[in-house]
Amino acid sequence: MISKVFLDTCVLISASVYGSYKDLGIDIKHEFYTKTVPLFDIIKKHIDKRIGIITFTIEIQAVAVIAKVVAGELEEKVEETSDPELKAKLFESHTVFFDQCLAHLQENLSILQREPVLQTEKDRHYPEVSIMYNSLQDGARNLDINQLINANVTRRYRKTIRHEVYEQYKNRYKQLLNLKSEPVEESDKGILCEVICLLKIYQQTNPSIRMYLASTDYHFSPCNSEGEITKKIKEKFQIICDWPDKVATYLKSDGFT
Amino acid sequence: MKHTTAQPIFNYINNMRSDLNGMETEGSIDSSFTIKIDKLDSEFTKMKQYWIDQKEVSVGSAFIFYSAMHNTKLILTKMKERFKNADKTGDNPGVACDSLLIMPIISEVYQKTAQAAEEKQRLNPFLPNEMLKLVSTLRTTARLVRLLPTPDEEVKETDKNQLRKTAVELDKKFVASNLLSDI
Repeated sequence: MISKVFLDTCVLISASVYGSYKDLGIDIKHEFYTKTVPLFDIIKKHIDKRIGIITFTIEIQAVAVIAKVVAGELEEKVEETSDPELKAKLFESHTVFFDQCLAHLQENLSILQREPVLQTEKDRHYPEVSIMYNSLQDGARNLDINQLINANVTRRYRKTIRHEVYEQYKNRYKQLLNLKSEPVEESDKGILCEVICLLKIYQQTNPSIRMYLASTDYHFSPCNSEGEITKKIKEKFQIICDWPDKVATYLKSDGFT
Repeated sequence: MKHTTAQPIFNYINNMRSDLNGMETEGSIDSSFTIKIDKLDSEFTKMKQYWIDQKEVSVGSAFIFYSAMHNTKLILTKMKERFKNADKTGDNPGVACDSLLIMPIISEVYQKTAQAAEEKQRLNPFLPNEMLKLVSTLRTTARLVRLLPTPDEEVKETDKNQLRKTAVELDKKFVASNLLSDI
């Protein structure tokens, strides 16, 4: 079985944002860092198979996001102080943390294959991706949990179990509800277009290839339960989106132990 | 710090490169080279302070150029340490050959930082990103030629409490931010 994993920017960031200074007793890790470890372990172990892939867009975005967050935080802190000594300390501590994150990012990038994607090819898939998200967005807008309860729960029990059922539905449709409050970003659509392009290229030589998109972003990966967006992407484009630790499990069952 | 000092420093770096070339050819280091490293280091210290005090560009941009100077200084510190101990550690003339590989990048970093200092409000919007890439190249090359301090060595001079505080706050910020908006 030939499998490829496209790593989303957020996964690269989760795997790179950590600070470890033994002498200082500092050991800080990104919230999702541990979820990325098994995936990176498999990719590293099977480096000759070129399982982990990214594009130039992902690489650029990862550096830009780390720089933006660090510089933004520094800006806030600097504005709060007029003490020149503290200002100097703030610049230095932010630089030290920033450098370490960038060093981790470089390490991670070194085991990933950077694939070229033609802009014209990417643009070709944009309408299809956009239409898919628009239709999901419409579905999210029209999603009315009260109406679902009324349609599925008999009147007799509605009052007593409404709260419980409401929570169940909320959980079931979490991905759509999330889409309602946080519409998909153009950068996410662009990433999906790139994954589609690469899958098409790989399929020319390996029609049975399995393509995963490892992401911690709800616009791709499921939240708790199986999500509508994830399902749609798989159905429409044959791309399996999931969290990095889940993708590691799938790779194991594909034979990458 | 005025930009008028940029050309003499640039020439000074070139002069250091010639010295290193000579050491490589002769197969032996000149221990007085550490004085030159110190002089360059003190210029970069001034440049670091310049970016901390700078009010004509955003803190975000100033941070990138500050960070470039900080990294360059780290490498010079390691270079000086290796020059000082070269005879004891069998690093003669190895350290001169390794330094020779990193000096062109240091020169490029300095040139771009000086350009940014001159442009200030008219700062080329691509320059901070170019600098980010250059610093990444600088660190990667420095690691390859053993001129990059270890993470623990890097924080030797850093205020430990401030670093701990910053690390905790940045960690929270990464979790809280909607990471990809406005990129």
